[in-house]
Amino acid sequence: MNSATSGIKSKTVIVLRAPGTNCDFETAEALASRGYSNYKLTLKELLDSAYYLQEAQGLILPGGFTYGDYLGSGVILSFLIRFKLMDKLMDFIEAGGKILGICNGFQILTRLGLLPFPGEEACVSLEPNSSGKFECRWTPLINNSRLIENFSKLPSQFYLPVAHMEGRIKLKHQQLHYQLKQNDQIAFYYGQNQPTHIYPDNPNGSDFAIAGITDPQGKVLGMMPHPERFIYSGQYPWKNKSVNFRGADLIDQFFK
Amino acid sequence: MKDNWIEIAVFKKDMLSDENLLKTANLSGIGKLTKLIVGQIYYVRGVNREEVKKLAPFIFYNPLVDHVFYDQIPQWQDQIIVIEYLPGVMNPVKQTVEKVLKEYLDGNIAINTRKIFLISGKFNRSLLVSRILSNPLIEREAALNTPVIELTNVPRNEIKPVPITDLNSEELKELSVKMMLSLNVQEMNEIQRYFKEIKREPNQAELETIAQTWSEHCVHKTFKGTFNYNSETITNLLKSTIVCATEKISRQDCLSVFKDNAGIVRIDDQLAYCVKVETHNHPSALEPYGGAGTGLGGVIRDILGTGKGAKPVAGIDVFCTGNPHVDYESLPSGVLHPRRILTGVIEGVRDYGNRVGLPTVAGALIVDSAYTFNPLVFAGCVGIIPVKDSYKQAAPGDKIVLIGGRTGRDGLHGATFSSLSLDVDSEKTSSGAVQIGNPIEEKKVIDAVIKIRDKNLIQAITDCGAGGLSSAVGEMGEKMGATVHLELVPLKYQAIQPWEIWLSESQERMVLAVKPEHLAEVEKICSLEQTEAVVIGEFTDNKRLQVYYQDQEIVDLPMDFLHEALPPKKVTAKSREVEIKEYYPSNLNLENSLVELFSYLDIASKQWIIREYDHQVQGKTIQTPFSGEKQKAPADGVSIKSDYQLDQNIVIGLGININLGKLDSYKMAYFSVEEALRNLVCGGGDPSKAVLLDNFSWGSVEDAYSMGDLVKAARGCHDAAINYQTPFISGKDSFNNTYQDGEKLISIPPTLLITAVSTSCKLPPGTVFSENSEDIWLIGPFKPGLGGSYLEKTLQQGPTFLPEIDPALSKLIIRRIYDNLESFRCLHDISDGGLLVCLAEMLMTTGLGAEVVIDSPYDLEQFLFSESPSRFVCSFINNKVPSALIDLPLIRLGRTDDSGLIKITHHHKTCKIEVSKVEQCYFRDKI
Repeated sequence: MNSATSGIKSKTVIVLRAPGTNCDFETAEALASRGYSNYKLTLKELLDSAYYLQEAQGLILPGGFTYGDYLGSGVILSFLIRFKLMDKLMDFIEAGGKILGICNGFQILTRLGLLPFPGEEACVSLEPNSSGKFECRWTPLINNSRLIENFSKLPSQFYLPVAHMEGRIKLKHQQLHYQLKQNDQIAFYYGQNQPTHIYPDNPNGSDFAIAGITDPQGKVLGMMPHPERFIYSGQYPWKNKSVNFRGADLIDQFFK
Repeated sequence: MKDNWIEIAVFKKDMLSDENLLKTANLSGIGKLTKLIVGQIYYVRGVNREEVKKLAPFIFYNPLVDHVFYDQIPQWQDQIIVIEYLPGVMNPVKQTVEKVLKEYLDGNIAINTRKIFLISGKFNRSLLVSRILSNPLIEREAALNTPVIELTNVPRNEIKPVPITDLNSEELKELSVKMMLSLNVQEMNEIQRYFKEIKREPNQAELETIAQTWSEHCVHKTFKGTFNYNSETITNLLKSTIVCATEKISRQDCLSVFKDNAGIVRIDDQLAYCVKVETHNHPSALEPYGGAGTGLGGVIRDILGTGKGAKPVAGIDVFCTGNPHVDYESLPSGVLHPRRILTGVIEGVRDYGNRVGLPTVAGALIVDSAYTFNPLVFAGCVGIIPVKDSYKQAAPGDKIVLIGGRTGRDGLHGATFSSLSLDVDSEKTSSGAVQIGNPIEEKKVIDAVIKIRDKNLIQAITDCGAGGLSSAVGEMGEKMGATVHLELVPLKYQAIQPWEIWLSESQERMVLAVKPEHLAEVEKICSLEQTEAVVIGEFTDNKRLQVYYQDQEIVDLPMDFLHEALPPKKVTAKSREVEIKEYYPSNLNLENSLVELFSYLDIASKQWIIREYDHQVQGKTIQTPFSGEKQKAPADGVSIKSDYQLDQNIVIGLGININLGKLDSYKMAYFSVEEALRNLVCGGGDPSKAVLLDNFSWGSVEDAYSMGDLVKAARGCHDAAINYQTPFISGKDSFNNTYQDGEKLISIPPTLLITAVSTSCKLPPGTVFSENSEDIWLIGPFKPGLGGSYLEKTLQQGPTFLPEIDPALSKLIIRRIYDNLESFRCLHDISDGGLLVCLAEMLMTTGLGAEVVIDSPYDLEQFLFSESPSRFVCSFINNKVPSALIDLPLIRLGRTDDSGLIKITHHHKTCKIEVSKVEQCYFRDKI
């Protein structure tokens, strides 16, 4: 466990690991860099002790290929969460806890139906990229979230890396887009200045260029881009440009 | 469906063709397909139908996007093909899902999977199955509605001795071939001598153990052999060249060289890094996807098994393949098409590397018809390890703990097979040598081992690679002795012989030496990480390797015989003379020449491959393989942070030059070291802290000229290492990369991959120009000679004479560039294709152009296309040349402008190249 060095008791976020999770270290590092404590826990550890969910203010489902994504992205872990942890997660959200799903974590949240409407049937899925390929690249994002108040402190546009094979957001029906927009549930779009369908700025061909969504309360956030891969300036690919924003700020502002 | 299997077929609702697969199929000369829809079939047993139907939407299909069919498949008027794994072949999906469901449902549940294809068009069905939809080595077509066959228990054979003491030399040789031991007569004689002495016959397991331990793969017996080179005698070539250079340089920060799985180099007082690059050529020739994946998996475990366990942090992958556009009909049966090899190895690295969470940051691609029959796959890994964990030592009484995946028949004879020539029958006789990986198992093992290490519970560790347990335990117990009980090894299925358990190269396994009092904690950590840890024996002090199956002894050999009795190999080597022609190309259309050079996959953008690799997972990547505003231009060197909190980056540069290898292997080696260091310094690496790795992929050890090339290349490595004061810390060799085509033995050209690694706090400048009016500078001496250049290859002329290198000046340039790295606005080294390719790469993606005046006594073609070493193109911040560089060979070539043209003036003649036109070709999809 990493403890922040300041005297004030820091907020605690759980990083949920499973076989095949592979972004847990950088996710924990992003949290630590902004003064959060974190527990990196397996599902079993989380189930064996109620302590963690009581203690924590947030939970992250990090990126990776949980259980190899062998039956589809995040399917097996979402299956296990659905039948073992779902009630506890709903209680956690009810009690004010926040959940962030990044990449594989986002895929799991949509499969569980926790996004976009917790407690309802799944209505968004993350499908194979329209390029038919794995895409690893820095993409331009538009910060569109008004539900998460702190996100107004982030720039209106920034770049983050994506790395996935199944990131194309597919909505169950067109009206859903209207509904998500009405509710301000679309947190991020792909694009510079305006949402784009054009590859590679939109790396996967997502419906309406959606890169990330929240639940109607702004307590559950899912996104394909990886904010945890941008903690230090050296990680920015444009070495000669100065940039104030870090991906870790996004994580920080979400859990604040 | 019989046998109570419930069949669940899943298709996407939109029923669209898999476009990539359709394209590949239509390019493979088997007819014209119009539709190719891919679906999955899952088989479930041990759960009742109602329960399955209730769970299926949450695990087997997604009701939002999928159609599901129970015990039937959709109506389809055309052809349906169903593919399944051969019984006994590792199926990662089955393995993973079965485990999860067993845990969840507490039942005796079984799972199986098949792929189903719905196809329309006119095509040759059996060719479609064998070329595109399956690999007959591991898969086969299944009839619809047939039950899945599983391997059942078969009684184990009695353990029988193999009589050898009465055989003559000829018979010994035959036995070696029959048992695939890859041992020569001399070696067989030595084994016979030993067993005559102890007055008994060996068991099969003993012969196999000796063959593995004495294999080229495990002991580098050719490289360490006694060379009769022209009229000279060289004892132990490896020691007298590469190892010798390292000893002479004697760098204090090199903590471990040539001893462990990988070389270890100190970063600071606490932290060190280690690097290893492996070859996985033969398996990749037969099963590219599995071969490349497990090649990467294997080298990751090499790193995990270095010291007391290092954490893998970055991957390196280099491929050499035949031309993917070659005619299918021109290939002998049994040889996979280069297109399939290339796409297969890329997908193999992608799926293994991405899933295991290793950023694949560095690589190269060489396409040459010389690799059609013997493709090469180099897989490398960098690891991070605490300095205190750099050394390991097991002691008598320590338990032998096997961690990770279960053991099956996969990968038998890998170590000996890798030393054989391929032929038409390789795909049949060597099918056991093919391995299928499960990266998720590997990830669990990595997580578990690092946790165990951090609690100081590891005495020693090594990977289960070639030779399986026999090599791993034999190596760890070399100085003391070891006893193993094979009945304790967890198996995937029971149909396996004791000697096969001992030799199996099933993936994702590590062997640890653990003190008895630490066992409980090790088991606890593994259980939390959901991987198995089992005690299979212990280290002893009787200096013998003793292996039992239940109460039967199947191996009893003294360690000193196993590790010291191998007779030194005698190698005949001769130097090759290449006839040099003189020619000077002139009046080339420069734009056309560039377009032609960019049609080589080696030179063109590798973006189409690199983006498929997650090169940023773990969040430590500093310099990605891309550069420039658009992040599309190629970077020369790449770097990753050594630790989140540290400013020290680990920088990697590669050098490989097979065109030179065909002409002069000494120069190939020297120039490759120099190229790797050039790339390294462009990536921000400190050349004074650099270390090197060598990977030799070579032709037949029986071919004296091929061995002569080896002597020359090894000497080139030595001389370059001494010149740049960069020690070799680890290496690997792969011989007999040959193919027996009837009477003709086809060999690869001498192929040497040099990997340079260093640390540094400096960030590299980009490799492309940023704006108008940047002064363009050329650093480094021009040496004439188009020999071994890509231009020579396109002109199909030559070979003409090769450029020279000025060792002292080359070293000075690299050093000065590093010292003044902050002054560069951009910096790119001149390599494949020469100066004009370099210049074009620096302008493409920027929209800029350049006006260049060439004032050289040499003709323009030589100046623009020579691959003379030690040169860089660059611009400086504020166009200010740092004073420290002015005594170097430095020419102002011209200046960038916004014309979008490269205008080259030479002797009052100007030619123009349209950047956007060559750019299109550079980035065009190549396969």
